[in-house]
Amino acid sequence: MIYINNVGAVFFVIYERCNEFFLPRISAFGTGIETSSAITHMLAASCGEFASCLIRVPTEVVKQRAQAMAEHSSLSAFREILAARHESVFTGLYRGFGITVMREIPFTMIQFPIYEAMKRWQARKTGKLKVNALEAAVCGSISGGIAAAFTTPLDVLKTRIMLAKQVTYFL
Amino acid sequence: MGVDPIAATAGAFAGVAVDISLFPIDTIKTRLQAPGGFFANGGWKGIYRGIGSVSTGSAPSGIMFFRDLY
Repeated sequence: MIYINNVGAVFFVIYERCNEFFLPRISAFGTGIETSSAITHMLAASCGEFASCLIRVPTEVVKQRAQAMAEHSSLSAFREILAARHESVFTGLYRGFGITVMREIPFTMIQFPIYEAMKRWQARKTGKLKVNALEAAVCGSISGGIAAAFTTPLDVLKTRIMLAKQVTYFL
Repeated sequence: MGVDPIAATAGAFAGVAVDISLFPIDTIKTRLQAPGGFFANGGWKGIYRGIGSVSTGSAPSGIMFFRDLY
């Protein structure tokens, strides 16, 4: 998993908790263990992404405004949002929350299955039970690259919504 | 869910190191995606502008990591 950054910790905390919560409840429907755990992983990953976006989105809005030279620094971008009169502080800081979740969930749904499959494939090829850290990192970069390639249009939308001066719609 | 505190600290430092070293690439991406394109949004100038918010974002998740996993 190469997409780990500081927000990754929030993702994994929620992901693990949700796995524990959903697995017995979904198995109770009588689906097989393979299907149940696949559904559980997808649900738990979605919850994890939603939670990590609560922290990621405000920092992302501030960061992108500074990066695109709309503001001098992160601090001035942050002050600008606090002082804005045309929208509330909440909608200002959480600008683009919806589109960020809409990018992160397909990203995870594409990356995780490819990552897990690549690790199994490499382990079988080398005749080992588990891949080592370097092999896992390579699997993570390739799967992350594929997921990023597919979700780039959503990423462009996210950047444009976050940089827009005016709120057009809540996404 | 036991997590080795040394591994957790190492993870936190690794995260920050990755954020700082890869930040210029992220700036280039943002500027390419911004309306008007790369040069209209700053080009190669001030490539580390916005780094402050990245370091701030690691604080709340760091607290959560230690409270919940360790």
